Amino acid sequence: QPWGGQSAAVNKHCLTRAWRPNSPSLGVLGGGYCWGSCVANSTSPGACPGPAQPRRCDPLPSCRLDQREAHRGLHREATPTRAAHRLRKPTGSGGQEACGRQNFEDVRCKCICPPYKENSGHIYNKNISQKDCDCLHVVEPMPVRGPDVEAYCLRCECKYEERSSVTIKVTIIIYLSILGLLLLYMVYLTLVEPILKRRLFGHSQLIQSDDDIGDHQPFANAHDVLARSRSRANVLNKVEYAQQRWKLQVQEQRKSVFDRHVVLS
Amino acid sequence: MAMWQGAMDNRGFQQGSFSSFQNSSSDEDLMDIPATAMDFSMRDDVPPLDREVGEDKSYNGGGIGYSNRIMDFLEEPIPGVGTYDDFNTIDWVREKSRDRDRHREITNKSKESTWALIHSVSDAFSGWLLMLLIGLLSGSLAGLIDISAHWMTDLKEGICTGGFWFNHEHCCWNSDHVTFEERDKCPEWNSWSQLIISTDEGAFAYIVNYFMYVLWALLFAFLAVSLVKVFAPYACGSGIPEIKTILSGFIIRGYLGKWTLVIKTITLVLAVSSGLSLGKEGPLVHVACCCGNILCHCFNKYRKNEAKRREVLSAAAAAGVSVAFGAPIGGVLFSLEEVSYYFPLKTLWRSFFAALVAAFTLRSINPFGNSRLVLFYVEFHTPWHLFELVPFILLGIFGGLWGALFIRTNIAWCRKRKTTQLGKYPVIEVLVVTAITAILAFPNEYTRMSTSELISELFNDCGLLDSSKLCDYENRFNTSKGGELPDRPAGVGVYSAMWQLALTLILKIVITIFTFGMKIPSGLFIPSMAVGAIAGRLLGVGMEQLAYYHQEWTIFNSWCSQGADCITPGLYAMVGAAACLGGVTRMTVSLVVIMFELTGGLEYIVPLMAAAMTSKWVADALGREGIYDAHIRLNGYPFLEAKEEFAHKTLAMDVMKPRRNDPLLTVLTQDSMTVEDVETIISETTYSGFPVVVSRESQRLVGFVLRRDLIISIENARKKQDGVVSTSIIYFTEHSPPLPPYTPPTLKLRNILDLSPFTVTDLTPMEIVVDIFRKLGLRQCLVTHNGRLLGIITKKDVLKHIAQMANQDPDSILFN
Repeated sequence: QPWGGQSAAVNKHCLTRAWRPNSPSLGVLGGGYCWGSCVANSTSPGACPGPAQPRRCDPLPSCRLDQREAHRGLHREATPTRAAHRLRKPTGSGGQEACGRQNFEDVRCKCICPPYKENSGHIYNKNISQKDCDCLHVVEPMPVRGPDVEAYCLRCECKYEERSSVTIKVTIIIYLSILGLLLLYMVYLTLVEPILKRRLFGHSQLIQSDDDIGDHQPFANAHDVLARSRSRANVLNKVEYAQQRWKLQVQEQRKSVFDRHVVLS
Repeated sequence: MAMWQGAMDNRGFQQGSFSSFQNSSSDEDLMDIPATAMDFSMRDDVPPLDREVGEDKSYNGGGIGYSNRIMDFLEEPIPGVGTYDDFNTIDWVREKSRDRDRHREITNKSKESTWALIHSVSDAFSGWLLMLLIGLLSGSLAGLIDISAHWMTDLKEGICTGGFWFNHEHCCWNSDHVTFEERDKCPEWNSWSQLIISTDEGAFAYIVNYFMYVLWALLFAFLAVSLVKVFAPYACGSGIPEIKTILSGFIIRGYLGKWTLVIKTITLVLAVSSGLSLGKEGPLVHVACCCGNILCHCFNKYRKNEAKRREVLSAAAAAGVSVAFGAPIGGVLFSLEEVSYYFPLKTLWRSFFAALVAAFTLRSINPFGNSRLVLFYVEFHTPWHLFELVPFILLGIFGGLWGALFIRTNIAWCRKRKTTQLGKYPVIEVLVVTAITAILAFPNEYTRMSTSELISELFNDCGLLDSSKLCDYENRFNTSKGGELPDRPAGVGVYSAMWQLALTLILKIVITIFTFGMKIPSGLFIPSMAVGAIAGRLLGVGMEQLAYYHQEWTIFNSWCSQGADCITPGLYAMVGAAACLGGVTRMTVSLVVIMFELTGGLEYIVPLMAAAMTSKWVADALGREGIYDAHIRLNGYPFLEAKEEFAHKTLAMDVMKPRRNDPLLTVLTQDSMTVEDVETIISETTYSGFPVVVSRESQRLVGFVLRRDLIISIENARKKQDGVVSTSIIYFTEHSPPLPPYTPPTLKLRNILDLSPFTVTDLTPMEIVVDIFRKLGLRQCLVTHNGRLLGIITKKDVLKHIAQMANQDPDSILFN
């Protein structure tokens, strides 16, 4: 995931000044390109189709183009000119990012255009690389024509955003599975285990532990079990011992928090 | 070497018993020089820096370390000696000197072999590695909490059919059907009424949505409280008061354990999603501290030493705030200003690093999908005017009033919960509060949305494209001009939003008082900020309209000309949030840093500072302590506040135990008590330590031995050492005298004896004693008179005394 992905500034000035830098990361050296005419230091040969007709192609072909450029950029890394290399790099990474199958739906350029003359307000969404995130590339079909394009686009606000849907998916699934496991374990401890214990240890146990007020809470018989397990420590595996110890600790905590209110109240 | 050690021990002993504290402290400077000179000649192999530490140690209770090292050749240290009981206070001096001993040993050994050298390097490096791990873990957990909480919050309203794991915003992320008028609607996102009765219009759909909202909220709250109750009761609350106490040297076993971490992380999401008026920031500090404590177990250096572990926890707290707010520097300052007790420069750098790593991790997870660390980033940079300081200070006063009110009422309610029947029904309490919150919250859109979203909307400055009601201004100007928007008259939407916000303010103020302190994870940063942000926005919009309609007023006409953008309501919301947070927590520096890191509004430091300072003044005038200190006092934790002065003219003899009519101080003698005698004393008393004297007649002090160490050592000796019976004599001396024949073998316990306990004379003023306890982190201090042992002062005695002097109930101090 590229790190330079700040949301691109709204390039309001590009129209009036007919020049804008390529991306913030390039800085002064990075150059840019011009809306009015295709200047020499434009980033990619295909980026400047012409003054009035901004590039309008569906993402896939441009995607391939970008990939090819990325390859070229990689090959040219060996060339001594640093400026050239700097120029290539963002193009390449931008292209790859737009083209990767997973990232394909994880970047967007969202343009919000307010009502203008007879046109109502509209929101445009497009998967497009960061450098192309402006009104002219995203808004299509352009609702106005000719001289109005500039005025219309000046009002639009374009924002480049990226996310990782895989991260979201994985996180939610991990969270839900942990929650589910905990709930199952909780149900087991509070409902199933006491029933099992009663069946196993019979009536005498029942009477004994009924004296204890804490019986209504889960793990109330941890003390007994722990004492019993100590007596036959050889047979008992360590896991159960640790579990019983933990139950005792939790019981102790519960007493101090919920019953005696000594801490955390 | 041995001779030198003997000399040191002897000197420590003499100082301990014969001179008062003032003497020893003034002696320290004088005696250091000859001692250093002597030292040079005797230990050439020790680098100078290390030797200085060694010098220091002989004054600060290092005797135990020395004897430990001698004993190391004879026997392995008994497991358990030097540890503490639950709900006890650690002895900082002892822990620090133990760490210095350990460090010195490693440094000395490192010259012997390459392996030892590698060991010493890895030991030195382990602190930074630990910080890296803490940063990674807490950053990832914060990402998990952020993403899951967003998703679950939206689950109350509907579900995404394009992938159930998407929240509302991400569900409509790529949708082409989002319209300009209804920006948050897309066909992929289905509200519950759409799913159940397949319509989104009409009263019935509203009722269905209402019902589902309340139902989900209740379900989440119920799951949260029952998970907390069953698995980890310590996971409830915000955790900051307890962490503060733990960092000051208290021990709560299991408070920073694995189960607490898991349950707090899981239930925090549930609690936040249930729509209750609580935030995730305080609990995230607890989560990060749990990470720190658990990871400490991987490193020998930190596992065994409670003082070193607290240094790590300080840094972990910084990482926690760093991810909670996306404010790394603010986190470090928060740890320094609010949480930590002992914060050396080394910990500052480590906190800095941990905060950096944590923020970096969270940023790479990108939980908000806006490529930023924080949700509240503001994008306006309009200047503010000098006159506006007046409303900012008004907001500061409001924040202070709210802070004082909140602390008072919340503490009263919590006391009620602690003492009456109310505390017996934690689950029902949570469910009732959730039900009330949900039922009242749904009809009002500002309470229905999550609190952090509300704050982010309030902080936002209105642009032309904003669709929310808060931005429904009348556009009466020539719209062709881009750039800055001038002040505009409010439209219908703004007026109705004002009403709704006012209702939200009242609801938040009331419900937060009852929410904070319930038995679910609950922080109060976000609710306080929300209260302040609402008040600030209301004032800001009011000011804006005032300026718009009364441009001829002298206060406005200098800078509010026609068509100028002179008042930014979002800034007022920011300032209000800072003021309210400051009123509740009494933070100043860290608060301002957190606020400008949180919002990115670097220009607004002065307004934020003005508001934070005013609110602190106002709140301090109305009530002395911040919410965390108030909760510490409510629970009676042994926390010795470092910020307050002790200004009463009492003496050490007024505070020490035994009191005048009490029986004499229980002491052990160094070479005449049998095992049985000591066991009787242990079983008959509950003191956590006993002074050791030369003999009962002379009452000359030898050292101090802790009850726990004594019990463990005797038990161990009875099990393992041959021939130790009840009539065996216990020796605390260096050499046991020759034994007459046919007597049971003796038990030598010099290795558990602290040979340099702190002593003061009975006429030492209490202000000095309090200072010693605060600055050195002592646990107990012995009182002598003419060199004879007279009594003892523990931290609990000091705390009780302070409480008594402040006209509070001294019995409220519960723990040792």
